[in-house]
Amino acid sequence: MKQTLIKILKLLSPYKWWMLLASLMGFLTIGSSIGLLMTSAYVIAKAALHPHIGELSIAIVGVRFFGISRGLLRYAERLFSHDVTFNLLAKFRVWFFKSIEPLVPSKTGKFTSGDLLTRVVSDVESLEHIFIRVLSPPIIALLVGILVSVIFAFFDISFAIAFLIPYLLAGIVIPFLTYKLSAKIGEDIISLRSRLTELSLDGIEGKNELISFGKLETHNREFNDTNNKLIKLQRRMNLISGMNESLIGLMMNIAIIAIFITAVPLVKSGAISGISLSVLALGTMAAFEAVLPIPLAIQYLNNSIKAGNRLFQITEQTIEDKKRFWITSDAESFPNVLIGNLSKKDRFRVEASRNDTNLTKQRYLKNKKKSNLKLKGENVELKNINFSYRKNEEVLKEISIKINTKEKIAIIGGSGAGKSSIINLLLNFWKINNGSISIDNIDYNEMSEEDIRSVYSTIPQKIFLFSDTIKGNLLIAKPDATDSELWSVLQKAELKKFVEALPNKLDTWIGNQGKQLSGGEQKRIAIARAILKDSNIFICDEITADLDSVTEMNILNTIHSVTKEKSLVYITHRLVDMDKFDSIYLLENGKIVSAGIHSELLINSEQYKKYFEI
Amino acid sequence: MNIDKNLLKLTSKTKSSFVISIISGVVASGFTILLAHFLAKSINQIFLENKTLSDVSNYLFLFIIAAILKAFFIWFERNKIDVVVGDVKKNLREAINKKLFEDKGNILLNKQSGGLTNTVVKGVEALDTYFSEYLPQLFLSALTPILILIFVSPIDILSGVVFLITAPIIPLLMYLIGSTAEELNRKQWKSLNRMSGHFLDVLQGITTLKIFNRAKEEIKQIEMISNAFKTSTMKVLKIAFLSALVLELLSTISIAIIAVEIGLRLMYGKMDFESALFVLILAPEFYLPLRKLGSRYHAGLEGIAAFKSIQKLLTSNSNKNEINSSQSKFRNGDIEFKNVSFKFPSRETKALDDISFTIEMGKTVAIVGESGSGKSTIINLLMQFLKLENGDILISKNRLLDISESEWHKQVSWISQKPHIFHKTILENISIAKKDATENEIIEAAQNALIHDWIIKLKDGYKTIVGERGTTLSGGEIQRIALARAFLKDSPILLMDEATSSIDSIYEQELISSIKRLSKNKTVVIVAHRLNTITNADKIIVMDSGKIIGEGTHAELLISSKKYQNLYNTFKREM
Repeated sequence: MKQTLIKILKLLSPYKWWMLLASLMGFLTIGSSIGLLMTSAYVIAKAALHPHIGELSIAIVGVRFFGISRGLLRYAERLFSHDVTFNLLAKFRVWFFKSIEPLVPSKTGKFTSGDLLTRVVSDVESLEHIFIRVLSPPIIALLVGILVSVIFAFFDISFAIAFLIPYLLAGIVIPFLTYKLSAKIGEDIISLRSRLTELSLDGIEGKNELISFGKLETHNREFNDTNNKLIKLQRRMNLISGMNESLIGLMMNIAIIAIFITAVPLVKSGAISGISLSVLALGTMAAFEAVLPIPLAIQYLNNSIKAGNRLFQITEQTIEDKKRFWITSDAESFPNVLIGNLSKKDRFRVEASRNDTNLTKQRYLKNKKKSNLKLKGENVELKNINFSYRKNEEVLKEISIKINTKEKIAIIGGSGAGKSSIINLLLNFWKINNGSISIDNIDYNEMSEEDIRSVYSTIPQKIFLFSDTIKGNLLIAKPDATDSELWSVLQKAELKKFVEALPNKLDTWIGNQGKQLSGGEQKRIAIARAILKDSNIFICDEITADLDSVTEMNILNTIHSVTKEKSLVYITHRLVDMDKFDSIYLLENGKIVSAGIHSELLINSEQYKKYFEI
Repeated sequence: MNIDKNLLKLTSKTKSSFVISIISGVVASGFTILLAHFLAKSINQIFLENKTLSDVSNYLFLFIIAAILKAFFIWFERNKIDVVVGDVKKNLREAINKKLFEDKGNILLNKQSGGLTNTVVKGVEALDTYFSEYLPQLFLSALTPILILIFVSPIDILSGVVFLITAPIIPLLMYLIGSTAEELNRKQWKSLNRMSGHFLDVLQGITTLKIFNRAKEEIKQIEMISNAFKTSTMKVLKIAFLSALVLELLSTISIAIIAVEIGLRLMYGKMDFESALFVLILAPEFYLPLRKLGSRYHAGLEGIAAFKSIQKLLTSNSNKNEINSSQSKFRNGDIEFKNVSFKFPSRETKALDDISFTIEMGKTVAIVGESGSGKSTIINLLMQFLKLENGDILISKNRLLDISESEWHKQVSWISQKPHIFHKTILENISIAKKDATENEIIEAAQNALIHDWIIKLKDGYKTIVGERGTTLSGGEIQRIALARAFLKDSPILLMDEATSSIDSIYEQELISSIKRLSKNKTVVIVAHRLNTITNADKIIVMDSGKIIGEGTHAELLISSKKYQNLYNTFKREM
């Protein structure tokens, strides 16, 4: 818990002065209230002694000053604290994106699924409010506590003590106690709430199943039970947390009484003036405003730490997996933002290897030279590759494939055969265990990730479209493309007519991640994007898996015509138009079991024939 | 102010708790006044009347009692309002849930499930703050100041006048904030949501960005968008804060005016100290409820917005099937479609246009056609997931609508293209198909569906929890689990809606023979977009834009139907 908080605070550190300034404004706001009530009390108490008007004038100025300053300071506080929050918002987003960018998709696994990612985003958002909700209230309460104690100590030190004890009880003990009492309930509430969400999703998405299996009543009973339990727990939670406001108010009144009782003998003995009675009492009243938001801050602190934990788990667990590779072979590409998360020893190794100026310089020059080479992608060669995602679980064994210019390659096999792993390796999302991959006879190890990916135009299995316009989605492939270029790729992808018929043409919003388009249209956008990138090698990964036969046929025809002058790596488990490929590799359990052209394989390969017996 | 009558109606059953809560709040304010009284009296007696501590000990004792009682009533106020909140939430969720299930396709077809779940869980939760914080505060911000005014005015009429003048300005100002600055504010929050959407989008799209070598540029993009948002938001917030500033100034300056005014009157002997102190102590308390209301204004807006979407859901047309009182028993027999037409309300053209055909008992009928030709609509009407509006469906000469829905569903197994897997164990997910199924039966069903081997390889086997928090399944695995359900249910009628679309070629062959076994002696309707599964069907129906354009066996259709020839030729290219 502490560690997470420290890590979060480190991320906040660039804004520490702004945060301090905002808190200072918050402190001065409450300070003004205290000032207003204390000077007001002074004015009337003094007035009761019927002095000359001149003796009151300074105090009256004070009353007016504080009456105005509170509003202004509050305004300033809000401005500063929101400014900080918006800065944090940008900061956390960039931080998180930078942290996971190098890790996707190799080790982020399940977390990239939609629902989990939504949770991640809300975690990032809850961290963004950490200043206003968590950090600022205790800082303000602390400063107010100090201010009031110091002022009261001027009257007599015993007042500071009489004030501080209830103040600390209200600001620390009571909030922590109620928090501790309700912590377990709070956790139960969270898990019940997510159970309710699941049930509600099950009910909505599985409605037809529930109806057809006659399970509607069972489901409703479970839903209502969970709902009732949740509401009961929330009530119990509120019974406890509701005590905060009551008890803090009670502590304020106790403080007033304690100060009063302390003051009376001092007034009687003449040590302090009777005027101070009212001044101290009203000052105390105003001061307790500072501790009111503390209970909520504790709750938010807990939430923020949990959110932080989940985020760090993603950013750090993934490092563990990638670390070895980076440290041993690629230290200088180790992301800067992650170095802080390494163990001391590993950090030393990374830094040592970076400091090895000779090596770094060499590599730098080499990289630079290679970048200028502008790879053509005339041939790609995989040589004796072994590969595993996890230790001892080889998914690819002794794979050797060569792709020459304009050659069309098909890699086929059932699910789990390792087809998509080959794509992951080609795109350098993962590193091979041993063997080698090269483009134009240059080894992958001597190129940057960007160089490698520049030779491929990829149409992945799971097409991802951004919640943007058609144009916006295409421009990802080539940011400076002109509209006429876009139209020409749309035509090649056979999507021109469709787009032309849309009222907003290229500027048509395609809905949340393209959901307003049909499956076939989404594929065609992805194809258009790949054409626009115009690399020499096209990669298609199971692009027709979820299409009906007619659409599948059309898409395939498009692919073959688009790649006429290109190389093609085509991955599929549906053996359509196999005679159009220059070579076919049949994969089973990570091994190439047959290779050749369609007509040969039909004669030679038992395994291949099996696919056609259906 | 934001009182929605329909929202208020939700509290009708718990009105007494609501009223008690408000009364508790007022009582707590009464104790605030008492506290001020005792404190002013004690200080006055020590300060001016030369009394001793023991002289005022009575007042001090009463002060402490009042403080404790005030604390209690504040707690009690919250406690009572929770009864109301709990009841509202319970009833609303149950009502929404019920609404979703009695609906025939309408709501669910038009909305995304994620958004609906949000309404059920988070939307209802948003009402919590409305009822627990905003609504009671609305009452208290009217009642508490009046109470204080009643006590202060007789003592010092001038202060009463200041209160009376300033108090109405605050709600008025809040109203102005509500209509102008808050509106801007709300727009800004909307764009914050949009920005969050963008962030989620790029996170999900990192792989795509990397493929196009654009990931590094995106970092700048995120930074830029966030900063642009900040600049524009701060502009708006400055206006919103400015209104809050005026509000704040109004109350503090009023306190200052009152302090100076009573100070001066005190000096000229027109007022006594005790009254003056009493008024001064109560002055901040007078404005406190109004300020609180201001800070909860947002909760009020949010609650109403959330309620609007809930209300929209609850009052939407629910398109129920009329329940026929003379329900006849299910008797297995031929299934007959007679002049059935169907139109989705959101679409122009008919999904089914005057369809008639017969499925003989025990035979296998396949329905083919391009996507959108109306194949699945036939299945959905048969399952009564959609409301039959034109024409008739007969089962063994009885109208389907006359047969009780649950009775009918017991006789039919339905496998959809995208079966739903519940957030439960695999065992529970399969056994849903049969009450009291034994473990052996479940395993047998899983074996038949070719999923058993995969299940036992999992760490927790059949007890593995699937879904978001557990193991995620591929499309093929999901379909095989759905098939296992059908094996377990073993009903006389089997409806398969593209049930093997996601299954790998390697399983396909085995699955087809497995399905053949399942289909034995059953009436089977298969919807297919790949033709290999259906060439042996007793009858094939060819659909095109909601109409039947061909009917017959595979061999017959190859000769008679051009459309079928086309479909078959495309398929053959795969061989």
